[in-house]
Amino acid sequence: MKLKFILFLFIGLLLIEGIVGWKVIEKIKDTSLDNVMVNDLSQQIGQQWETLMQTQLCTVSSNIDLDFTLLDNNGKKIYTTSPSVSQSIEAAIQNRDSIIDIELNDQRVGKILIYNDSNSRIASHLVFLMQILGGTLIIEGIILGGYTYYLNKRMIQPFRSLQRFATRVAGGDLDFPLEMDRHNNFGVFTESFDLMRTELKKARLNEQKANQSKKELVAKMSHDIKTPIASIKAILELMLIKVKDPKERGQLLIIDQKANQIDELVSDLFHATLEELQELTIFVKEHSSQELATLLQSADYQNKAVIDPVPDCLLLFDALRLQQVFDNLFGNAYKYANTSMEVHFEIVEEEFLIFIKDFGEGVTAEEQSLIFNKYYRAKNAEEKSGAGLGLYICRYIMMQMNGTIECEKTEDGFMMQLALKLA
Amino acid sequence: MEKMISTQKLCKTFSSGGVLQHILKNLDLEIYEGDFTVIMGPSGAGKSTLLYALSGMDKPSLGKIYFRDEEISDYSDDRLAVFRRHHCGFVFQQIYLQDNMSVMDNILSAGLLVSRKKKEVVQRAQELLSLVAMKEELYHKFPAQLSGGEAQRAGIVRALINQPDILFADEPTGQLNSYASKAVLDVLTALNKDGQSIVMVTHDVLSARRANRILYLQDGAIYGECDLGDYVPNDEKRHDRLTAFLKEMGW
Repeated sequence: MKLKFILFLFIGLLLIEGIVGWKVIEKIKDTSLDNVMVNDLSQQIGQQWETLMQTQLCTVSSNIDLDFTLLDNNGKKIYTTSPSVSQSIEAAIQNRDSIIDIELNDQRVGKILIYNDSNSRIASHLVFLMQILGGTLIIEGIILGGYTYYLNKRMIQPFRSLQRFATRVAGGDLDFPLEMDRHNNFGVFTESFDLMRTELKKARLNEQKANQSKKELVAKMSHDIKTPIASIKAILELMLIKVKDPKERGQLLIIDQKANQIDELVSDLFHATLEELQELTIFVKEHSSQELATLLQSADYQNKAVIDPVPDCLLLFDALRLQQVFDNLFGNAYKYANTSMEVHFEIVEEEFLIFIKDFGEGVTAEEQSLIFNKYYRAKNAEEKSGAGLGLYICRYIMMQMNGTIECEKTEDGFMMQLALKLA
Repeated sequence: MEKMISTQKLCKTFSSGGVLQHILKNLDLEIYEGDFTVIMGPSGAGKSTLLYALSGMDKPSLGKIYFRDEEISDYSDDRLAVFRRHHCGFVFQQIYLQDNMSVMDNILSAGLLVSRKKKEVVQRAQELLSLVAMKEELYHKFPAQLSGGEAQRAGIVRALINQPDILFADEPTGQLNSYASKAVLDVLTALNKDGQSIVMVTHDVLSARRANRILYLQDGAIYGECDLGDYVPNDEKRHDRLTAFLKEMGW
């Protein structure tokens, strides 16, 4: 409503400007003298000429409303209506006055200079025009300015905030609602955008929940699988005592071996899932370095390793998790190298280094950086069982203890290097 | 300067109520011959524990301690006692003079544990007593009749009677007034000038000024070290350096 009114006002003002301008131009254009008036004047002067010349009276009685100057044949001024009008022929020419001869009995006796007042008339018209135009322009300016402000507030600003909102949503920030003004059309429009945000947030949360429950299911299942395997192993142990036939014993041993394998795989799976759930908690504490010897001996259940004496110091680690790392590394060495092993220690500045070495093939240099990746299995591991999770978990545990794990191919074997922090 | 005592990853762990408390953690340090070394640090940092470990009064839980080139950390208790008697002198905050023995007897009993030559021991005791400015009339008084400062000076003489390689002092001025403290510190400074190696634990800045090397202990590890150079009385610059160092350590 208001907008329409303002628009009509604006157009009306423009029309007024146009009409006024046109009228003024018309008036300015109309500069011609009234021929009848001029003829009347010259006749009246002609009639009065004699009296004028004789009396030398400087009055011309005329009922015609024109300013003029009367000159005789010699250019001498006889009469003028106003001292401000042209007084000589030269001045009259300059002012574009009309010059008319006065003829008496077919003889030219003098001249009338009829003053051309168009200049002053134009000036007065122009002033009028300026006033009208100035007034309307100011009103138009106010209208335009107001409209620009209105546009900025109602259209451009909401668009800007919509743009910022879209950037935030794209950046994953779904928590902040879009500020909006429901009092105009645009507000309603933006509301639908905000609706989109809430829906997006809901969808994302649902996705996270689904993922979480999937992982939890895996963790739970892998735990559940362990129970029947434990029963199988218990029964096997019993059978191994009873059965004497070597062939049957061999078969039972294979079953035992496979059960162990399943157990290991499930453990790996369990830990990998736990780690994803961020529930593989690691408590780093100060421990005597001598505890490492116990951990290593327990990991080396096949007694294949020669373990150096451990240098004294106080270390930071989680004994339970470090045992897991050692178990994994020794398990790998048994599985892939199956040679004798050596364990060395070294203290370098703030780090305690553990070198676990076997004399097997190891992995190629290109693969050395990859074997710690999730699900990665080295080429030589193809015919062996495994899921590619063991070293991944080892690295995760070592990193959580502020330590590192690296591997290196030596001249005669393969070496894992672990670093722990001194307390 | 020659190394006198050095440690490698020295650790000391106490167990209280099943909770392990690691007082010293992987400490690597060296004490040099002829130095007046001061160990400073906040309460509970492990200063006294370190002093007892260095002097062989207590065994480390982990790590090694070398006296000159000998590893003393794996000595048996008996062997450690002999080692202490021959190489170490001790001065404590609570002086520990025998109450029922005179000053002289206190000193001689320590001396005669090591040497059988009584004449020599007596002569050395008298020399040392005069060195610490002990009046002769006090020689045969009982500890209860002495002032704190006098008792501590007697304690120093007892610590030095067997000509130890190194003198360990645990807050020797902790119980003394400022005048007596100054006297005791002057004695220690003079001894050090004559070449006596001293390791002193203190948390008193005035005592620390006497050192030429300061080790700052925090959370069971050496947190900082400051080499002050030989002690000069009323040296403003030296004092400023010490203050700046302690400020940096968060004293």
